[in-house]
Amino acid sequence: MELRIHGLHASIEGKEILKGIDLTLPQGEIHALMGPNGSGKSTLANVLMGHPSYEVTGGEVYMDDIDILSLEPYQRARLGLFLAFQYPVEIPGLTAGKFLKRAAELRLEDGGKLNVSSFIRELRAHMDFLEMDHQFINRYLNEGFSGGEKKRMEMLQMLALQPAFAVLDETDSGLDIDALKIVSKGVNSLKGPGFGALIITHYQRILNYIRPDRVHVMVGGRIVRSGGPELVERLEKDGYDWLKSQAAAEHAKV
Amino acid sequence: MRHLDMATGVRYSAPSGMETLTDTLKNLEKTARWPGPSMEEWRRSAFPKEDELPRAAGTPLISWEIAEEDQDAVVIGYGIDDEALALFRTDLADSQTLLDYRHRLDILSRPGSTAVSIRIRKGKVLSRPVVLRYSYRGRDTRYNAHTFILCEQEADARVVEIHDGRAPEMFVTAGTHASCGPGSRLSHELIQNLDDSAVFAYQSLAQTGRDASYRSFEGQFGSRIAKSRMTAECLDKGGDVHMNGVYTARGNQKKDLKPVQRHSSPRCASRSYYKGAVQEDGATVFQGIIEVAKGAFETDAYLSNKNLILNDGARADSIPNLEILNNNVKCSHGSTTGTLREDELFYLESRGIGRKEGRAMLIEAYIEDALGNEQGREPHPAVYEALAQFLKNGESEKP
Repeated sequence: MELRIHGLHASIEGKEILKGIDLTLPQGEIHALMGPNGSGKSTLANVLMGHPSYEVTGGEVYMDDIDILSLEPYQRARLGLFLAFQYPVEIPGLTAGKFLKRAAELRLEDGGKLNVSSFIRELRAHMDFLEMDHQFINRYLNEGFSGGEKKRMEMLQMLALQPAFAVLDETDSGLDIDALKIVSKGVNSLKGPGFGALIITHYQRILNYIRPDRVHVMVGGRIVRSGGPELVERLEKDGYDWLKSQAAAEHAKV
Repeated sequence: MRHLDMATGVRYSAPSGMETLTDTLKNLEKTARWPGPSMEEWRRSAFPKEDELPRAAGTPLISWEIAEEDQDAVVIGYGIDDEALALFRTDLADSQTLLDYRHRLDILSRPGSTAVSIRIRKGKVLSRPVVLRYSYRGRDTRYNAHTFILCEQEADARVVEIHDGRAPEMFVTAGTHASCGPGSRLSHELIQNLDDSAVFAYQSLAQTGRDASYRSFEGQFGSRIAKSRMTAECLDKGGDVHMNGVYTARGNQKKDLKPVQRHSSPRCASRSYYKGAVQEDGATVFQGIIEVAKGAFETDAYLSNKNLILNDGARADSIPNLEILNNNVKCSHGSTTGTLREDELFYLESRGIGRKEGRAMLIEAYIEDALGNEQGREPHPAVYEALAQFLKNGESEKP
């Protein structure tokens, strides 16, 4: 399966943020999407999932032969698209366990029945893997969680739902090194032929733990450069400025 | 657990020479006014006039459940009025009040032919809740139901009182008088889920003895118009009161709730926590009040009301009140009104949960902390049944 983004334009409140994104993410690969603040990375993540605040003004996104832009967010999720949020919401009154169980049920095709005891067993194993206290699932979803705990909860959901494609929206931001390692462990454990990931990040730090197959750099709502992991090192050394001026020059030519 | 036959209930014998409240009320009934907009508490209730309500009187079907192992701890009485009142009057020597009989509607809801008394014997701790159910079945019929709960010294009990019935155009008046003996712990849970065409008027008075604990839960789900006043009065030192409530209004439903935290004695604590959800053209009014009498020093009271408005056109008025006739007290109230947040819905959707279901999950989550009337106590299933109807109705909205 492939996640194919072609000529994607999107705006919020009339302001165009994405100005023609082309990107193909096959399963089995991990791609990094880097770029300076305000380049549109998080917008891309939200548009892929179908956030209602954004308006798609052009282009297409396919999961294999399915045009996902015509689908509701929950339908995209059931197809196997997952978004790890930069700022996961807190929902007091809804326990993490109840929420996860329902999400897992909905992932089963044709209303199959969830085997609750094996679900719980797997969930506990995932929690052990992510070094989370088992009591987490009895707490209200993200309520009073620290930043690191929220990101672990996102990873727990990703492990429990086993998506075909995961988009991680700056999951590394605000994490200490231990939490970062755990998040990376979560992604690496899913790595394989049935899983593709787009790691959106501002820093190269997380890419010390998750080795990307491809790296894309986004500036001003466009992908201005794609390459192999060596691109990360260049960015680390020279920053984004050389790409910014390059992008401006190319844009001027157009 | 089994249903008891009414015949197994115990009839109390009336003490001789007792003044009969019923006679007094009968006289009052002739002169008292019907409540209307001229009375502050009833200004926003939209309560029908008496001639708009059914006149034919009926008797509800009453059933109750008591756990097998609790049979010896509980005495159920049926069909009582002055006799049971006598028992309640003697329990708390200081208690001069029964319910507040302020107007004609209150008087209609006096203990009459349909009354059940539940007495939990001294020192007994019940293993399971006593569930008392009033079922109303006749269309265009007027009903009255009255419940007495006597939780004797050091007893510990949970009493669930359910009012339900699907017949159209019923008018139900109901009242509960709970008496909490010294050191006792009583949880009283009222669940109203009458037909959407019904009119329901309810009042209760719970009085706490020394160091008694009273927990109430009020779930107001059904009825076209429901008006409720639940009063918890701390009659002796060390009383501890928690009043929780959940109410919903959809379609054209109107709910008007007034929990009263009445401090008549010093050094008592009370909390009320009420949450409402309104949708379509539903409207709710919350008029909770903390009343601190002269001399009730070192009172510690807090009143909180939160409302969730689910669409334009739905309305929730929150009018919390304090009436403090004393210094050296700690009393405050808080009130918030909000709506569902788009980012929360999107989060649930991103995990495959459809919008309608996500909306229901968020509403349920919103009221969750007001449902249990004590930590670790599961609400009665009737609460979730009633709530499911509310959540289902919201699905008629656009996705």
